Amino acid sequence: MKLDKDLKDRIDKYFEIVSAIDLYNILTQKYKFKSINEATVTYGLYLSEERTDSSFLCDVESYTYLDIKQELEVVKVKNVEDSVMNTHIMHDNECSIPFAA
Amino acid sequence: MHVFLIFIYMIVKFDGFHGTDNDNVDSILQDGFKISSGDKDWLGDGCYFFVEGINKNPCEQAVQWAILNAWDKINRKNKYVTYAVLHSNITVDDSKFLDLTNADGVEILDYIQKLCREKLATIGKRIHFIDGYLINFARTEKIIDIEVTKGNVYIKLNIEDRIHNLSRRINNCTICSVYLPSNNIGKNIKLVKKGNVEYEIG
Repeated sequence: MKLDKDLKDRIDKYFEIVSAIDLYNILTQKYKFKSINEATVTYGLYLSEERTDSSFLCDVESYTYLDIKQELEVVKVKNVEDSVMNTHIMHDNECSIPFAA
Repeated sequence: MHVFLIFIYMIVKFDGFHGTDNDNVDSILQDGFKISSGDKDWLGDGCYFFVEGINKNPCEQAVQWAILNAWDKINRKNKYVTYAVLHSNITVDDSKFLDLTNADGVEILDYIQKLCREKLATIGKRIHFIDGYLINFARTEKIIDIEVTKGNVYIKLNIEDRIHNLSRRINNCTICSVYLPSNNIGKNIKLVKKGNVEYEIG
């Protein structure tokens, strides 16, 4: 199998038809891809981007060994996006962690 | 004037070795292989085989895998006492063979990932891309026709690696995943090795 013109056109066609939201739902719900929790804070212009996954978790997911499934305890936290939408939360422009409060 | 179109299909053939519990042998020989799911770190859903590639002896690797896979770490005992290795001739049309041991195959998977990433970026979303999931996605959504996937991976084939949870980044095995065993293997299955599980990990 090679990425010749026919195959490329076929792949392109799928991505032209599917909407971004549908694709996201398909990938995360049907195929169990994990979403990267990123908080992008916009205050007029781009301010900061904080990756909420620990580097440890990223390493484990990328290089986890193959035969024995690892079980990681995940502590559920309030989704940062919810906070962004909440106009009652005040953001400190000088703080690199805007949701610390 | 008649115009004849001749399509030449290239068939890829290779030997595959599957390690398993000896108790499964009769049902496999009679009914064929069944695919397993959930191997997100390997090559997606399918029936797995060790094949020749970066490893010189895939049969021996299947033996080692079957022996070590017997160990049930939760109950701290072997799930089975006798292992078996089955040999199959795997055949697949080249147009349905995703070979991730070469640049052509990797280019396809990279291209699909790129389009996913670009599309998701339009709504500010990002995901962790995992090989097995991406292959499942491409195959099941019929973005490309895949019947067999081959790739190089690192598999713990010695006790120390498993006890101490050690992994190298340099791959040591070439494996393949067959999604339609009835198409690509059929009944062409032979028992080539059988023995007692020698190790106990405790």
